Amino acid sequence: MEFLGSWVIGITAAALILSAVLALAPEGSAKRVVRLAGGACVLLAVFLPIAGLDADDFLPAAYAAPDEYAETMGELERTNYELQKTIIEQRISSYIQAKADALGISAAPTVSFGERDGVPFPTAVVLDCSGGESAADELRGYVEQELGIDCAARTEKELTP
Amino acid sequence: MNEQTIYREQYVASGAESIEIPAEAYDLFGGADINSLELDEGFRLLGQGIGQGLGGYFKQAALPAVSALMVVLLCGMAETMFPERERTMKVLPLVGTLAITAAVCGDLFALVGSGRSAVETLSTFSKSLLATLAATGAAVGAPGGASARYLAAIVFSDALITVIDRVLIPALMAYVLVCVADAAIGGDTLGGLAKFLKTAVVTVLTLIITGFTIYLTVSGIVAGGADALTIKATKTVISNTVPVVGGAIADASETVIASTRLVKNTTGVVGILALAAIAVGSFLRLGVRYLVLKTVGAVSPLAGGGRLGKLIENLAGAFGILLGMIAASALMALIAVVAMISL
Repeated sequence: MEFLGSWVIGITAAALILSAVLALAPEGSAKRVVRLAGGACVLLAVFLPIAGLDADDFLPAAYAAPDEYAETMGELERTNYELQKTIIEQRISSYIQAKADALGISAAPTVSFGERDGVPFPTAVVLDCSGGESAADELRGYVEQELGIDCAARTEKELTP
Repeated sequence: MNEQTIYREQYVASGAESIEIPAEAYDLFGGADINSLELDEGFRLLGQGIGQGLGGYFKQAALPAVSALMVVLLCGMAETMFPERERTMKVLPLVGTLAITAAVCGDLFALVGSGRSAVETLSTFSKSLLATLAATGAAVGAPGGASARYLAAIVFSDALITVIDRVLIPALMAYVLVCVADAAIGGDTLGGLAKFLKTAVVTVLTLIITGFTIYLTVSGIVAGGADALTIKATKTVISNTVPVVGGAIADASETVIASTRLVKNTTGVVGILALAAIAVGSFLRLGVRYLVLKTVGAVSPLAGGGRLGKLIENLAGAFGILLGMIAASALMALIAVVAMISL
């Protein structure tokens, strides 16, 4: 802003001096010369700011911007990844629980995840079952066959010491 | 996990919650919460706010315009009443010029400051808005396009502010002073220079906006080609798994992307409304002054003030130049936001 202020003062001074000198100059060729010289001074006062432009003045903002964007994007990617895992786990758990209900047992599935091509992928399921061992085994086999992922079933006998 | 929870978590993670909408943007919406407005409802409220404030803008513009008109009338009366006084007739245009300059330019210079502030507000707000829109645009499967458009918007926005600060505002000041000097000297001596300065400012602004739009379009097309590969990866994983797991992954992916798109679009709508509200206040202040002064300048010859009337019209042009600078900043921000929403 100091730069702007000094430029305004310079332009103002040039224009006022030109105005005063032109008013005082005698008519004829002298006035024409004064007008030409004064006009050149005003032009210089107007165009000198262009010489002061520096590309580095606005490039730092461009260097900073990708960091800010990368930070926000990274945070959103992490959040979306966790949300996808949660939704996949919910869908798989609902599917398994529906089968467990059909077998007459209750099961609390815990899903483990890996990653394939940046996509969260379920790799294993642990079932905490309450009910008969044979039903738990049947449920485990069903999960491995239908979902194609490793499954371990733990019954109440195994969970309680 | 329900849709609202997903939306909320993404809203926070994308930085949408931390975007600060400037206070002046809320005033024109009559106290309504911008974050919950639809686009058409927002523009309707904005129109109402403008209508209610329009009278105030005209009142503010009236004083300098009426003062200028009074100067013209008084000078016209003096010319009519004392034509034989040669010395008075020589000095009268200079006195009239200085009086009109004092009446109008104080207001103009104050508006240059607030106009500069409006340009900076537009730039700062649009940067935080565009970071969120770019992140959500990348998350819905267009990382290349989002990144290219974001960088273009940032670089051109900063370039525009720098050019306005270093070149265009000094050129505007020079234009005003050249017009004043031309009116004082008479004979349309500096009329060509004034016209050149005005044309130069308009040309620079037009070139920056045009260059930005072209770059945005081209970089978006070039970067968009690579984005298709990102979506392919997810589809490959889904197609190579058993149906149940593949269905769960597809469901999760679609839900998350749909919610991210919703965050992007709602943030974009809020951003457009806020940008419009920030810009419209300055538009009206300057636009009303431009119209009122132009009218005064047009009727001045009727009061015998041809030279002074031309000065008033030229000073009205200065308000128009400042309006152009704010319009360029607002247009650039709007183009960038719309380009991001369309990803």
